[in-house]
Amino acid sequence: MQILRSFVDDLGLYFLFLKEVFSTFCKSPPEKKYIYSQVLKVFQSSLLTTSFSGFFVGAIMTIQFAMQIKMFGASGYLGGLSTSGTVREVGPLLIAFLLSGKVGAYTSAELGSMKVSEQIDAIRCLGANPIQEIILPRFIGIILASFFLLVYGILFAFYGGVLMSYIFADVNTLEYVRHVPTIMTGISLFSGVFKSIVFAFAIASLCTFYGYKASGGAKAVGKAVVSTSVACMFSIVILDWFTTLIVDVINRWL
Amino acid sequence: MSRILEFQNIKKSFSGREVLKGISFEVNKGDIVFILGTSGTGKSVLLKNLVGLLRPDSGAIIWHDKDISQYSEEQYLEVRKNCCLVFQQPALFDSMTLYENIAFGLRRLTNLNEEELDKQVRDSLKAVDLKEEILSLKPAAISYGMQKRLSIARSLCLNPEILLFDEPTTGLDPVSTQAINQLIFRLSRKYDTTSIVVSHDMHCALDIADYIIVLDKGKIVEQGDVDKIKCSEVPLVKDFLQEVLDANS
Ligand SMILES: Nc1ncnc2c1ncn2[C@@H]1O[C@H](COP(=O)(O)OP(=O)(O)OP(=O)(O)O)[C@@H](O)[C@H]1O
Ligand SMILES: [Mg+2]
Repeated sequence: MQILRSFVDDLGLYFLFLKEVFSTFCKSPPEKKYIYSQVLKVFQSSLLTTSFSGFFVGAIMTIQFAMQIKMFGASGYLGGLSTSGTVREVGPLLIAFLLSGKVGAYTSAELGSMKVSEQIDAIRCLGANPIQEIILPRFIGIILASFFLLVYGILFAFYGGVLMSYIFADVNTLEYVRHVPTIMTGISLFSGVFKSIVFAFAIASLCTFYGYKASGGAKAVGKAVVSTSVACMFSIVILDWFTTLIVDVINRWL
Repeated sequence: MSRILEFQNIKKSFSGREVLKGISFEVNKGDIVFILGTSGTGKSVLLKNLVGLLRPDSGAIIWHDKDISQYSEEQYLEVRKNCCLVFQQPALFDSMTLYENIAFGLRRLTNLNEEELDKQVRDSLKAVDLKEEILSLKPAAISYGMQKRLSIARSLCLNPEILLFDEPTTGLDPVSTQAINQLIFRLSRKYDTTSIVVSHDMHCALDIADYIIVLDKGKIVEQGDVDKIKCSEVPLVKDFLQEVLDANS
């Protein structure tokens, strides 16, 4: 009961927070240079990890498919199947998990420690709006950077797939690529991009929310980080299911 | 003497627990007011109510004959420019250099050009006895005591009408403590700056305060000038006074 109540409380506070962020964005948007520097910071710090994880996601998918497909002698379709699966589902999901751990945890810890050390209060006292100067650049920066990182990670997944199919399934690059357009249709591509945007938004909003909400000493910072990780994982899984439904509806409608 | 600020029956609760239970007092221009009290009686909450970081549940805060407690966030800008709060923690922005830390408020609350701003930053740094070499460092590179003094400089540079200090000397060595207290005294006498100082230090309150308020469990148990406090019969005040005597002997 207690857990349910605090969950509902948090949910309410989260939407109030979103409302405040949006109204501040409309009234007084942050300076562009602050957003750029956030995008750059997130991008730099996560580029390497994203490349690696993207590469291995693609590799795993290809090996999995290769084992099944060989039995039917349809190795030619390996590239198409594995790329499509990576782009539309597994790529965004796994890379979003990784980013929620890396970018999400970092940002909520950063904001949480600013909050408990009274820096956020000091910003207000010195005539600035913390939502405009601290939250919004991170919020927008993380959405942009995560989106680019997700797309970039998916590209690496493709390379991973190419390499693994060559090593483990004796499918050369040309053969691998040939059937990609046949199986990976526009809707797969749309699904991947759509999911990336939704996941990026979830990570950005949750980590800034929990960081900004922290109060009461160093322990609160740890709590904010844990809450961010848990909330990100949960919401990414749920949003994955939800976006799959939407993509399915759109697919049937087309 | 003109009255500059008045608290009228301020009450504040957090999730049903009453922290301030009706606080009323007045502050005259140029005075140094000390607010003493044990830990957790709501001293910081009181100061935060004045600058609008928290809002009182009931009561009024009169500043220049206007009730500011119901001001909007925009209207509060005017108040924050003239009533600067020095926080209990240094609260420096750790991604900025110390120079940018001090200039932060100046850039947002005043229209100074770069040259005037630079002078203002250096002057306030000198006022708190810090060297200019440190201006290019980040907060993590200087000691806690220096951070606290820098946070005073950050408020000082705005030339506010009222300076609010939340335990400015807690955690400092005796020499720095003495220097900060002298600074508060000098500001008040030289520039007619009004200071409200939250503290545990009865000794220095007796030294420099014009008016002393003693809080206990969210209520004022005694207030008056130094002579009145010295003859007080309230147990908590006597405890505070006893400690000063013990320290002296
Ligand atoms: N934002 C808040 N939310 C909930 N409770 C709070 C909040 N701020 C303060 N309190 C509570 O109000 C009480 C008074 O806190 P306050 O910080 O004013 O004490 P203080 O007199 O400044 O003590 P200290 O000398 O330790 O700084 C404490 O019990 C604290 O838990
Ligand atoms: Mg306090």
